[in-house]
Amino acid sequence: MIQTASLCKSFGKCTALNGLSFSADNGSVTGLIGPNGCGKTTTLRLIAGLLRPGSGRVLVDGVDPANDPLAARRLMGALTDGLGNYPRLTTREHLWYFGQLRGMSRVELESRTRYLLDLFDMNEIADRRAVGFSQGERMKLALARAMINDPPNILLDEPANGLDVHSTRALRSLLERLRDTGKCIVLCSHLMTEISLVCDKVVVVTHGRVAAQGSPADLMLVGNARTLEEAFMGLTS
Amino acid sequence: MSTHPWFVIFRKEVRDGLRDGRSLFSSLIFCWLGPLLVGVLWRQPTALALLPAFLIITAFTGAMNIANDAMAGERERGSLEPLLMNPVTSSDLLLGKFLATGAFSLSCVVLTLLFALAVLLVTPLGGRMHASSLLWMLMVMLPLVPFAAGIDLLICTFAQTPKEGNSWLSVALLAPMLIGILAEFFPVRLRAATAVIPLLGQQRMLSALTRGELPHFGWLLSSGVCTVLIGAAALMATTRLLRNEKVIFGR
Repeated sequence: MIQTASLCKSFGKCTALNGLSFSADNGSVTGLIGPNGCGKTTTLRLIAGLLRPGSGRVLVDGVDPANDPLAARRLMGALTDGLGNYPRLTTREHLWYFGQLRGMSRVELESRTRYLLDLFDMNEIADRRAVGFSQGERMKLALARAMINDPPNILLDEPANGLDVHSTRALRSLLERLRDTGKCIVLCSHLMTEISLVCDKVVVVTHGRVAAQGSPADLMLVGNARTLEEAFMGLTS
Repeated sequence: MSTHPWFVIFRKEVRDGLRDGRSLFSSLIFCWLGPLLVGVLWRQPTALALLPAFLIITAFTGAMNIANDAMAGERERGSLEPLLMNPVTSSDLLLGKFLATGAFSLSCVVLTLLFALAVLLVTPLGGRMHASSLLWMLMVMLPLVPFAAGIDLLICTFAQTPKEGNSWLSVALLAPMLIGILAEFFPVRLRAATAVIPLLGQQRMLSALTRGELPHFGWLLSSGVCTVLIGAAALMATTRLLRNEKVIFGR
């Protein structure tokens, strides 16, 4: 479970977050949506303990990443905006590298790698270097890497970027399966269709604070809109 | 049983570095270039004087490609952020990268000495400098390996891209080059005060070895300690920088 309370963060004179409060429950997918530069990525970085909040607090399963970033990071896997794969390492080597950094043993890594390669349909590229991967393959690799140690909390920054229809559907069913196993998933995306299809709860962020939150249906009701996109436009304009 | 994070990072960086064929090739050029020039110019009385400058430069060129990829490359690929999202301290992260950078630097120094050995064996230069001097040269060069690795990593921490990193590293490479060249034209006498100056101390001791003079043990020790300490200070500064969000995200 991830909770943020009155989270504020500034970079010089630029205020990125201005009292952001929301919670993401276990067994649910929480979508963070908002216009460009509204503070979504900054929020994920604060949750991961890569940034320290100016004020306010984050709790990841009761651990404050500002006080104990390593303990908080053990409880989460993250897909960042930049993906960040290594062109000269193979898919399997990527998974082992991140798994070993997370303290996994050889036996655990072997079974988990096999599982993730099957799950993401990556057996064909398991021993290929990442240098020639398509955007979809890069995304799947970064996703698998984020889930290598089966973390209870998963942060995803634009996970559907560059995925084809098949991979997008596979991602959607994966998120549903993860949710059903009790994971807490926080998802940032610009794709309203994705958000409305997969998220149980949506947090609309504008100017570094929460403009509205609730289920997609609730937001549409509040915004008197037929689609989440219409509701989003109404809430952020 | 899990492997220690610094070793996981070290192993990955070494593997990654060995697969970067172009960078590896460019580093290797420096390893044989110096000894080859010495061999070609063997008739010149000052031929062996080229060796110290090339040896010192090799320590830096051996470290620079891997240091650049390990810091500026991580940032450009966008892999620094996911890497830091693992439960790994910045000290472990840097230690792994530092040891890998040092391993490449040391390998290049050893290769240069092996090429120099070949030159001593096949040319009459073997009569002017005994092959055992190369072992002493390795002793003199050893402290420069952590120094070069620490300085190169520190420089690359500020670079946003490997291209920028290369520009700064090229400027930094001027220091050993200039010291190597100027010290031959304006010989500074080796004494306790000059021996402890990194690069200069090593250059003078290496130069003395090409003339068949063994370095003073006390100066070898004090020079080595000072050089290693500065390398360690550079590593600590880089570790601190990697905790700074402005440095991580380039703000």
